[in-house]
Amino acid sequence: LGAGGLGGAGLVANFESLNPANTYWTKPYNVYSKVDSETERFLEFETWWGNPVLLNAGEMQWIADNLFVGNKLSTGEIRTSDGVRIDLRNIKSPIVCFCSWGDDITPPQQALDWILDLYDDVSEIVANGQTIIYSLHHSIGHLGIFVSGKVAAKEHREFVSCMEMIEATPPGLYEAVISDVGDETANRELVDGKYLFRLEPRTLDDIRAFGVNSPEDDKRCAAVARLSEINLGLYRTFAAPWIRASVTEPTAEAMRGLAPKPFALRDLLRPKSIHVDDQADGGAGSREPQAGQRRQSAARHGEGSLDPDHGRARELGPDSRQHDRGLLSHDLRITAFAGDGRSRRA
Amino acid sequence: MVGLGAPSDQTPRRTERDLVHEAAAAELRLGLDQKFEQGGVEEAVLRALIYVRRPDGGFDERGYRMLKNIREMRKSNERLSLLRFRQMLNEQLQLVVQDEERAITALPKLLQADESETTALDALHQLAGATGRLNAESERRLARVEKLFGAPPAKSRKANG
Repeated sequence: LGAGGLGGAGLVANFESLNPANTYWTKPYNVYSKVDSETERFLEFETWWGNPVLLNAGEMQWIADNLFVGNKLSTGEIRTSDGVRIDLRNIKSPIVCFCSWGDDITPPQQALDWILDLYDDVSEIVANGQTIIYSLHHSIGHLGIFVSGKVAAKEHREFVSCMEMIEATPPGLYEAVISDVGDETANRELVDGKYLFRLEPRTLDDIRAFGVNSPEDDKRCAAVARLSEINLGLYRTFAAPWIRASVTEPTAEAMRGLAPKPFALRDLLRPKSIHVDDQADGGAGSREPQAGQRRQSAARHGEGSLDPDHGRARELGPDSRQHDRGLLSHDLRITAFAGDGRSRRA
Repeated sequence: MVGLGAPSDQTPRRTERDLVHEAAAAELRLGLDQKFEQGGVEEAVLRALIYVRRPDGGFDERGYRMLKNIREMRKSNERLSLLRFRQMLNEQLQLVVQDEERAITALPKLLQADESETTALDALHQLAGATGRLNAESERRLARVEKLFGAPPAKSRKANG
């Protein structure tokens, strides 16, 4: 439908619908409650977030087929266009893997599962001469791991300042534990910054303990991947030629313009809304910080009473999607019907 | 209909084995066997440090900075490069992991014909103490290594933090 391109707006909208509590309440409330200090950060983020890059359709299809649905990278099933098999075990430099329990797209058990695809035991990692370091954040979201200022100030800074130590770390699997420096910390002069960067050796059982996919889960995922392949084949054969013939570059452009998120934001940033600026400027001078108690009660009201309702919607979100996948692939008849794509290639 | 038969009992998801990798790893293990008696004072200090700190497991930036400070104090032509250091650290770690007793009893051989035993011992003390107090097992191990380094036991030793 995009005439060979894929606007990211659909992806953005989908991402936001995963956590409606944040999208419709926490985020605007955060700006409202700190309107004098948050403006710049909010606009900067929303401008970046609301202007997705136009992806090449072929590129997106490849990513979805091989990485998201097929999950082929970590099992060495991907070959480059000139035939080189990509094997993550060949990476010689240390690998640093950031993940977070607050990440509902790639939680730690998914973010680290590739290590289990590659190795059965830490001794294999050592024999292969690879250094793998992971870091677990307890709350930050999927994108926050990379773009959050808080994470940049603590985790990123520590990793950068200790990069040389990471380079020198002998092969193995480690968890990076970043802790506050207190008065009781010995040899404080040797610590760079406010936090102490420590590497703890870990075993693969520590990763298994996060609750990774069982063989049955893998089978279900393989069935979904196969169904997706069949769907794609049917689509390419029967539907794609018609759609391609009926969509031109201008209609694609118009459709991208209709997508929910950029539409709203572009409207907001249009010069038309300048009169809002005037009013805001007028208000800024006369605004006074709320009295402590009132602000607290507002915060309680805002964060305490409304958020959980939306939070419930969030809990339903990813679960119901997983549930769909479970339903779809739970029935063995469907698995049999879809066949086993992998055995064909074997 | 379109599938290719019922799902067979396939092995769990796993990267295929790579014999080249495994051969290289085996070669590495073989080569290791000859390295217990090889090396000089740097190797000895690193090996002893790994041995002393091993019961504790983890390590942090303080140890590394201490190591760098010690490096800075040496003559510039005697300083190790990061790459060489990484290789050395890994090698010594593998030796200790493979056979702790053999690695430690070989220490005096590494220190032979080296004048700087006391400096080496000082460096070891600084490094071992960089992360604060040692636990009982590490203390015991440190005492044992001191004897091998030929120092009067527990005399020059002071808690380095």
